[in-house]
Amino acid sequence: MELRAEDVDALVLGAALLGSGGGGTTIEVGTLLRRKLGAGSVVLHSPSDLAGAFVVPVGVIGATTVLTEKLPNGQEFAAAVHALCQWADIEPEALMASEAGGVNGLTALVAALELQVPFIDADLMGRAFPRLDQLTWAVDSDHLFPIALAGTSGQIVIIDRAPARTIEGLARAALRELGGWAAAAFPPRPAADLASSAILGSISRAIALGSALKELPEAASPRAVESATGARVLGAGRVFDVSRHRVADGTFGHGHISLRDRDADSIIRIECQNEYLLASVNGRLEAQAPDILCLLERRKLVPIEVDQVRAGDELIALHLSGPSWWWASPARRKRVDPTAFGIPTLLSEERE
Amino acid sequence: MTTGVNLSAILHHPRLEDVVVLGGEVSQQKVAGCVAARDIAATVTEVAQKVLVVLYSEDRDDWRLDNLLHRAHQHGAVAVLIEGHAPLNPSTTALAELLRTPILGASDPFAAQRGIEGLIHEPRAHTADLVLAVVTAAQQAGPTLEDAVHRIGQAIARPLFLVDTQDVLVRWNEDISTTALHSAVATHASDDRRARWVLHDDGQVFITCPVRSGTISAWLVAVLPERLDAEIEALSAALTTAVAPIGQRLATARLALERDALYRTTLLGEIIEGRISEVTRRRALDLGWRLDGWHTGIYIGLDDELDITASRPHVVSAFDDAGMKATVVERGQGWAVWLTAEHELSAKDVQLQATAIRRAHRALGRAVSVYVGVGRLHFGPEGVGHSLGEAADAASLARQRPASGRFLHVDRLGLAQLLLAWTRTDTFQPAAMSLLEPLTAELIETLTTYLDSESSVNETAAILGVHRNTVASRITRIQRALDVDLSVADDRLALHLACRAISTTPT
Repeated sequence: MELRAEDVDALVLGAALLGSGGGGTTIEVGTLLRRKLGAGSVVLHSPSDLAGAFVVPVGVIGATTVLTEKLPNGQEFAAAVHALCQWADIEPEALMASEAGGVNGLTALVAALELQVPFIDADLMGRAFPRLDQLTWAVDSDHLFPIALAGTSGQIVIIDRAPARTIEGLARAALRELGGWAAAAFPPRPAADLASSAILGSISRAIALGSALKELPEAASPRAVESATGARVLGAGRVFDVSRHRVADGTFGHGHISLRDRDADSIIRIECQNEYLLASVNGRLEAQAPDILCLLERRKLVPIEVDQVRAGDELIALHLSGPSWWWASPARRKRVDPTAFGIPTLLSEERE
Repeated sequence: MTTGVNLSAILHHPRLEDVVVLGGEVSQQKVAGCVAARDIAATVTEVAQKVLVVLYSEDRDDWRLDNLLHRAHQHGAVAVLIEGHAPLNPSTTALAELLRTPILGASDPFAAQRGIEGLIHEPRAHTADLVLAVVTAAQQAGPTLEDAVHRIGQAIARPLFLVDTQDVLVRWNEDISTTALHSAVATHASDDRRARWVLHDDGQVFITCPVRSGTISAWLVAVLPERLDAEIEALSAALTTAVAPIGQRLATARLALERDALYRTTLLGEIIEGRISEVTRRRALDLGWRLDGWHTGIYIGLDDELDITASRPHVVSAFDDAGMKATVVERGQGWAVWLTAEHELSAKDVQLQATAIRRAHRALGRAVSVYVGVGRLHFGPEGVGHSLGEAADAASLARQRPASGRFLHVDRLGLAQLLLAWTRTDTFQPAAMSLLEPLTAELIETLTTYLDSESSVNETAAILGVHRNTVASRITRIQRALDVDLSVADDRLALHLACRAISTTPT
């Protein structure tokens, strides 16, 4: 599969859907990607196409709100990848996305165009999560080093030989000095490993979802959205309760958003942090991370991020299945389910 | 199998003051008991028709509270009770409304659970507690009725009233109208010693219990905002217990009242009879009576059987309200009242005073049926008796005269009417009856007409529409039957009075 400039709109929508309300706004980076593509294209390789190659996952970390104000020029990714490969003493033979949801569904493609290396259609989350220790590589083997961060002014930070949680902490500390966000390059691995350690096909999933949504007419019915995207509609209605709380360290806020579906006579409540993490309908648990939850603006059918929801908005609540990789074992699930975000939940066997 | 108790009735109970409604609507849901859960994540089973009490639950924003509500609703719970009074977030509130499963808050869920269970399953224990509380309150209460009623009211934590047929003797608050209280006791015969209850249209329950003390009939009335059988049973027992201490105070108060009334009546008797010694004057002075000056006597008679001693304050206040400082004393089946002025009143002042008395009469007449006579101005201590005597005469005439509004001022009466009034005394009327007994009704009519027509046979025949010979023969028969001579002036006068007396006797 090839990605051309005309596919970028679909990717912008689809990556936002996989963001589950988080991961940053995709529109600005979409513009950058369209410009880099020009009349050309990027091939979305499957790992088997490049079985012997070393693949470097790339992405942006930090405050994505700052990213939209201080846009990348594309060279930050090249700087991060070069620094990492120099440190690890290898050649970058291919790139992939560290995260498919949100802005990072697009940044790795920008980087691949910048570096002129092949791109593999896979990522390490299958959606968006806020922390580095929630990348698949940090979960199964706890081997996420070395990583390289490149700041907007050319600074380079290398973090090596640390457990994933420590890397997360060190990276956050570095971000404060790097200007809010940084391009990150993660440890190179043989493409052959990806089949078991990464989420495959996530960029093409985003494009497929996005183009399905794009095809729908304005103000399409929730049922039409359901059948076009393969998602499940939890309800549609007006937001009547938005509650956000700051946690002690001031970083991640958590809260909930509730809408009332007058037609179904139901109340849809979504617990959220940086992403939508758990949905209940009339108090009954309906979906939770690592499954994906989205709120679409009801008329234009565009995904709305967590911090953009306001009381009075008319929205559609969607449930998309999350990557099966995360559901494969309790250990994996526990790293990314709502409890990992401090939101108590019920075990699936308690679901009624 | 219990049919349950209304949730709203339970929440209105004073023992569950700590329980508030945080979300959803509480109405007539039937509650059969409680089930405790440790926290909001606990498994919910067997909560049908019950209140699910969550013992530990702090975070109102935990979505699992919604989930618990959902599960409780699925299993048929009536309500969910959580810890604390802090408000719910709008989502949970909306869900409670949507699922029609209210969320209650209590600072002590354990105590709330015990309270609810107690009301449902152990009404006997509740009754015992309440009766004990009433007994203790009565023991600690002071000697006055007010104190006793208020303390017992506090013990039962419900509005409590002491009501008699006329009035509310002790009032708890202004929320319950006198009419409502009276209509509640109206259905309760005073010889029925048991406590009874009535349900009003607005859902309030009035529990009434008669307090009998000698001739007095009063009722203790407790008011519940809503029907709760356990509380009705407990309050009925508690009120029955309260009857003895309240009745005792009622009797004591009544005794004092009657002692005072007797004292007043005796003293007035002495004054009316003109036996006005130094001692009499001093006693009158002690009571605040004025014997010097110009007096206007008023007699207020009662048609109905009424406790004149208990109702005396109404008379005093009727005159007060009309702007007059009156002395009121129980006398006969009514009250002797007099007004005293320092100087002789002008004709205009007398007129004004009469108007004021009429106003007092009207005010009294609204509650009971009365007739009023007013005497002339008389001076000095003896004047009290004179004016009251005239007032009594005027009153007995007023009683017969609905046309005058059952109000007569002696000034307006002719001498003849007064003389006539005397024939209507209890001693004269039977005498008149027996005097005329030998005559048929026809003969009495003929005699009355004959005497009224100045003993003219022709005039009598014309009025009765019979022949003059018929009249003459009837007169002869009358004289023979009564053994009188109608040419003798004394006989004629006696018969004329007798005829007039029986012709006005109410049948």
